[in-house]
Amino acid sequence: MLVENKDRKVVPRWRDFNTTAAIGELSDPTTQPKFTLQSEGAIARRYDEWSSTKTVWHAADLLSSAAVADSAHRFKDVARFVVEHQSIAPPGLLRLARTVLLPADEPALTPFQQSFTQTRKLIHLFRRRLSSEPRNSVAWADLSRLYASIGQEKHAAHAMSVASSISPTNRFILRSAARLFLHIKDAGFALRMIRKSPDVAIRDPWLLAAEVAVSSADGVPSFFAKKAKRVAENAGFSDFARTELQSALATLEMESGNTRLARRMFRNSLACPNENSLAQVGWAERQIGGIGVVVSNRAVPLSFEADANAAFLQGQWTTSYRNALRWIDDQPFSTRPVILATYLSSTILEDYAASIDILEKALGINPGNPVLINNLAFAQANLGNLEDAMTTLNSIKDRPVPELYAVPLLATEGLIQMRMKQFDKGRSLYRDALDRASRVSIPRYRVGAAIHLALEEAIGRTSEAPGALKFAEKAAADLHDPDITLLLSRARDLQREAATALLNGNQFPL
Amino acid sequence: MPNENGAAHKLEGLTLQGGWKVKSRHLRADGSTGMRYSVCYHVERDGQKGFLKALDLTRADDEKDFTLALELLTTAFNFERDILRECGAKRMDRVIAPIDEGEVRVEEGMQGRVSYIIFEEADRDIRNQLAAMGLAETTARLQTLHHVATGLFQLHGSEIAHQDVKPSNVLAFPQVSKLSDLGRASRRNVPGPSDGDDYAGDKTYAPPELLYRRVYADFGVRRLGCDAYLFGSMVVFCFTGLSATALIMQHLNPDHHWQKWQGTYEDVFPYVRNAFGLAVADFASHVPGARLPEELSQIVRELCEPDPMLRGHPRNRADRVGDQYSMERYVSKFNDLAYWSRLGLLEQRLDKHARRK
Repeated sequence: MLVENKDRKVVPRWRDFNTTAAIGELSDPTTQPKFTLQSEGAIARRYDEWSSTKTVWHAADLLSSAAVADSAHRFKDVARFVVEHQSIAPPGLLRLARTVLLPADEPALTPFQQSFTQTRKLIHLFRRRLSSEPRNSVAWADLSRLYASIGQEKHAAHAMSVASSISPTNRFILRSAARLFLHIKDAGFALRMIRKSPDVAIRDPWLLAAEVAVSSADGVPSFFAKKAKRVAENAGFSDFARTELQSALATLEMESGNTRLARRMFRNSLACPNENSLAQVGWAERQIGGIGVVVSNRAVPLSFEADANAAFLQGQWTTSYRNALRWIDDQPFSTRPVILATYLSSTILEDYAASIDILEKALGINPGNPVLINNLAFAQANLGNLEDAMTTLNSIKDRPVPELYAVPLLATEGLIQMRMKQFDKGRSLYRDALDRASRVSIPRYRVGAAIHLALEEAIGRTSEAPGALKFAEKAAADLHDPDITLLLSRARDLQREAATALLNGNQFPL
Repeated sequence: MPNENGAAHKLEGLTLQGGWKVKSRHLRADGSTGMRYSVCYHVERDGQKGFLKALDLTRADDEKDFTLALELLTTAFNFERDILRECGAKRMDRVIAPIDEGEVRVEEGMQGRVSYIIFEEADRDIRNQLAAMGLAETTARLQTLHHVATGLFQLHGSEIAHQDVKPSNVLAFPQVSKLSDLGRASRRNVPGPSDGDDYAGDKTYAPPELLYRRVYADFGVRRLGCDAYLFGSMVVFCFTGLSATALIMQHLNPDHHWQKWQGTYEDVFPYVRNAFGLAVADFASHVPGARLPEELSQIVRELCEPDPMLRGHPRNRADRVGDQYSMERYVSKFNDLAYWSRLGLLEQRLDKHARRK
């Protein structure tokens, strides 16, 4: 069952260092001009020396110096000379010369799916690297992320603690730590880390954004909200540096009911958005409306969440699914992309085997998550593995589950019972789910449970199928989400098939 | 543009005291960064070649404050001359020695008198030497690095920091390599012309902390620590063709390049350290042999450490007394490496050491 997150926060994304740096989230937040090096004379003299000697090592001296002064691109003739003499050129120089002649493409920012084995190999490499570079906080943070992506939370927390003790004020480390500790339900620790160096936090919009969002996610007031507002309006920081902060503050305004101001701030946050602020605006638009921007038209790197949601709302299932899968690869420890992807693969695309693959991996990272367990049981049941499905559901039977999650769990159990031909028991569980859905006031839950009951009645070709369909249609009357429409039409088709079969005398109602 | 009509520009063809015949102008040192004071020539006496640096007072003409510029020019000249005299007196055999000095009158008037220093001249520097050897030639590289380390050790022994160790300043003689150009040198407790500069040497070879404008007040950290880095950078250059700084920059995200970074060195430091780790691994992949890459990358890791407070040999750092940046252990290390390499037993030797560890 898929239900929109009611309180999405702009918590920092946690990516590996190279990706985070490549999308510009670790750049200088200010809009100051570049520094220059007074080295023109020295470089010009080195060019003269190379011209008169024409050796590879004079070329090395020149290109190496020019690279530091960021002017190597001016010496294409020298670079060409090096490439022409590659058999006697040292490889480091040759690589630099080739870069001068053919600047490297921007790195591809497509996250790649890693198996547990690949991740373990990477962990081994990082640990080896850290044995010779124990003070490399960036490598410790990347190691922590690798651990988190295979569900080893203790190791992840330890590696991140080392990283933050080496670089306690660094943006990449603090934002990564904030995301990790939020993931392992220790938001208080994440907040303490950011707040420990207030002088650093208040001059960095990225850290302020993290503090505001994590405070809000933890349900505590932000320490820096007032200062954050000033920084969010300070044009001395680039639009990109302020995008998440503006989005986080807009979310606060939205939560406190100031929707007009929130809309304006959300619009401001899109001056130069990152994928997180873009996804937040997409979400806010669905919650309060009136922001008036088209999220899907923006070329923002790694905007898989925003694109998946936008495609979902337009009923473009495969596009939405493809983006959801990339979102999983980008944020492997997050449950939200898994929930969306498996809802699409199971309920919409009916590729239950794919769902099981995704969910088994996700449960390795987030063991015992009730929504993931529900989705796994649902996929198993639809593949006909009813015993497995029941075992999966039973794995959390003894644990207290929030009311919100009880609805899909009861409905799925109802589905399993109906597939086991225990129709009365199944119906009873579905009714229970419907009652609870009414109590939690989430219309999609109620409608979803009603449609699934109708589907199961139709699949079972029971005499109650027409009534269940009518009930579902009535429940969904005010809901026009494309997935609901699709499921309803599927229920109607099944109902027609059942009725035809009955007319032809092929099957009797149960 | 420097005034080309000054007396120092008219030495060509003259015969100086001591019988030195001034030949052609030398390209080196003219028009480099900062206010350099010299005009350079090739000189010769009885078949012995030399390199002459003449004090060019007309350079002060281009400056706003003429008297101050004149004072700076003469101070710089005298400072270098005094250091060179000391190098000669202390028989620093891995540092270019002055072989003569004096004055010559070219024209009437105060600016017609030219002071000069003559040095021994090498036909080649390390770049020519490297160009003449194959990429896999290790012994000569290690030998040269041993000589450079010795030169720095000798200078540091007299509390002199060279500040400008780079390929063009390592001259190659038939049997030995020597450090040249003490024009950017700095001495502990002796005021010098470079004292006001955060970094006196060639900025394209500067250690990262100075590129990111992090300046330490202490002479040891700021000057000797810088020399240690520059020597490590020479090690990197000899095997990769790139300075340590250039190699680090290759592994650094462009957003963190010193030109773009407006924040402090502390802010950017984790990224620089990460790039440094990758640069060291990259360097090791360019060094021939099975054990030598590990050995040299450890040396580079110690000498080019981006945090100058952690730079230097670990045992020197562990000692509460003494010089953290002392080159002594590296002199000995490169002596050993060159010796065993000459015998063709370097890998066996390093292997034995590694097993013992």
